[in-house]
Amino acid sequence: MRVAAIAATLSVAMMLPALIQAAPNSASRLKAFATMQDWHGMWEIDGNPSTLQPPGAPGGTARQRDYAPYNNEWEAKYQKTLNTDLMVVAAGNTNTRYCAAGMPRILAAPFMFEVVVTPEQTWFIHAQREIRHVYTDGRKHPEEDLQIATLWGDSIGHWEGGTLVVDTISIIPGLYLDPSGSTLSDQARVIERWSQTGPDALQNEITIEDALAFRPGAQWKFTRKYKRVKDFDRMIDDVCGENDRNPVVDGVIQTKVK
Amino acid sequence: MRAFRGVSLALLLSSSAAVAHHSFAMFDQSKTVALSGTVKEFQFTSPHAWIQLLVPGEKGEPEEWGVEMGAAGGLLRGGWTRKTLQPGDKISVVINPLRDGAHGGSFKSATREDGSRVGPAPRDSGP
Repeated sequence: MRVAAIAATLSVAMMLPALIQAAPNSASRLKAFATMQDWHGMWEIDGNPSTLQPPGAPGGTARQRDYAPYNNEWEAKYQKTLNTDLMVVAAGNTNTRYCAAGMPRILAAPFMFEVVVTPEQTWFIHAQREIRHVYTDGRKHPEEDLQIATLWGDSIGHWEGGTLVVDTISIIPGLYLDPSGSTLSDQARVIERWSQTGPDALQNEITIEDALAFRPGAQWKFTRKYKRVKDFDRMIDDVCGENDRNPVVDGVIQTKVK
Repeated sequence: MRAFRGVSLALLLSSSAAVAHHSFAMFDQSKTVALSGTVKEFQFTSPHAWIQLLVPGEKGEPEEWGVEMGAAGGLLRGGWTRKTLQPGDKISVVINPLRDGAHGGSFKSATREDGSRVGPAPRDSGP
């Protein structure tokens, strides 16, 4: 009994440092929070999440092209992909290779996502455990030598009233933007303007620039709308490692039926 | 409601083709095949759920088929659960078959022996 009492005392004492360290937010941070957009909850694409091309255009299958304003060299490269064996194209699909949509395809993906807004950073947390960090604390992109290309790139942002403006660079070149195999170069830059257009609606006005792949001065602009998820109350993360039956062998996607 | 689900299914199958764990190039979406058999295992998993179905072959011997569905999360959201199918359940499944002729395909719909639909129309919001 005495041993138990000592153990209990010790366990309480061990918790104290953590309690003591939990300092309150500063008044300035609380004030900043009070002005932030409240986008908590679950969201998903509103409409057909076909490809990145403007809504209404056909798309979404391996043979239906996307509409990046490619220059002649990149258009020829894309045409070659469009005429490549489907099983080879499928093997190069970003989701097959990385179990992720990556940027900017995630913006048109059918996965649920959450938005966590804080004064210093906004997180976009998608199923498949794709997480975008958008720093809004005034920092710049890393210097070129310190950049590491990733699936979601390096994102910095700022608020213009209730609109979150996001600037993303340093995305792994060659990620598929859709099943047809359209891609961007390592010079791609994605500008997003996120705003709330209704109690249950978000909108993202997207502009993509790519000095290497696009015609001089050309921008690829489109808008995506998102709606609040009301029939499901929590994120279920999809992970590919659990039951992945699609190995790529000699550049061709396979399917294991058991 | 039934009509809504039909529209929803069509939309979501399209969605899954847009960003799924893989494109649907390996399936012949112009063909459907009906399979009748016994559930060996229902793998309620990601990136895809799978129905392992034992289908009588030409000589009556059971042949195992793999039927791919969406991710478990998307199916759960659509009303399916890991218990919707149990080993031993006798069902008929309509699939888009694999192009390479292997015993597998992409799930379209399923019914039980009494003709009732297996689970709600799947909602594939996952990979």
